[in-house]
Amino acid sequence: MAKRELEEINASSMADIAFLLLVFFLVTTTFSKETEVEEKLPRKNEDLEIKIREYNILQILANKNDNILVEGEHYLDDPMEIAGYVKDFFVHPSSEDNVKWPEVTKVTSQMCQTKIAYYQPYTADPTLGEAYEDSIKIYEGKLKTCELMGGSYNEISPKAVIAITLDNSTKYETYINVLDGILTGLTELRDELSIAKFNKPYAELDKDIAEEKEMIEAIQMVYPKRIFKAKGIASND
Amino acid sequence: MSKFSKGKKRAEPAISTASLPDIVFMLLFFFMVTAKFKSTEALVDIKVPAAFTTEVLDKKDKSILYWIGKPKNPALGSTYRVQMDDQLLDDVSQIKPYLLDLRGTDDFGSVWYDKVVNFFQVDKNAPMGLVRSVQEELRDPLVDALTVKYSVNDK
Repeated sequence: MAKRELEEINASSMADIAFLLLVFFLVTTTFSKETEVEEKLPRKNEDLEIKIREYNILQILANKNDNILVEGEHYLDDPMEIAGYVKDFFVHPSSEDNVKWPEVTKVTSQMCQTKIAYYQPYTADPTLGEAYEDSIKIYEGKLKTCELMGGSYNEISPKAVIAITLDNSTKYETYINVLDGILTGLTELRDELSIAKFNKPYAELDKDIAEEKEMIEAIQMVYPKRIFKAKGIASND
Repeated sequence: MSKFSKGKKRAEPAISTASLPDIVFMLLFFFMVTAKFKSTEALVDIKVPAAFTTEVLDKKDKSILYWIGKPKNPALGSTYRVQMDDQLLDDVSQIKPYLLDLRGTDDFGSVWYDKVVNFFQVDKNAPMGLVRSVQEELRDPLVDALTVKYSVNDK
């Protein structure tokens, strides 16, 4: 008996089926690249009314009419002007001597090594050992930063903060503009430092690479993001 | 006799469409992979503000979503309200028990401190007082969810 040839299955309707599915996914897909602005809220127990000297605060106020006032005297037309004030706050322009800026201390590798050596014997202490170990960790971080910055860096006073005061009916958009102004100023500073020291903009440093993560941490040590919101609440990162 | 006969015209062969499904399937897989389904429907109107210095949202984060805006349904009034999941909240005090429940689940509990992100989608005209009262709930020592991200457009 002659072998019959297998009949081929007609595949022309396959395209129709695929097209149907394709149209479905085309319609349901959204290509929104979502962008965000991040903020860290302070813990409740950090909600202490600490007395901070006036020169350690960069005061930004937004009232219910969405006017922005910096340091109690400069009305801003454009919220992006905040970036300039933030930069001045960290890097003091020497031309204006009558304005008092936050204290800045020069941190050197030698100083960090001395501190670590000084704290080392106390870590054996059963009650306070942990606290000393924490101190050592802080100084090790500073030491790392010194190494990456080429021996030393200027550290802004830990008490220096940027304070945002808002009214309950201030628009959310105004708040985002203020936050954006601060972050833009900070990012510009971090970028300048990063390019000067590592030949790479700050945003391009990858936190998944160990070496670059150290760079990011060092830059954050020099220019910390320290925003203080509403009634004397500080947040750190 | 010429080699190139000018004889009768031959019928043009039909273009084979056999590879059409392949092309379509390729497109199909692309859209299947990139498709993202919105699981909850927004009950409030939101136009987020724009900013210059932004970060791209990290998809690895576990996020809790908060919508703040005016209800789309005019019968629900025209004051700014908070929406979580599919519900419009009557009061911000409803947030705390919800978050405590969430923290008890395996999915969220183990990553609460480092990975949980409070993702705010807020209308640009919403009053900061409301945003702040939501955040006060997050700062509660029992809740303790402190990372906040605000959805913005690029300027």
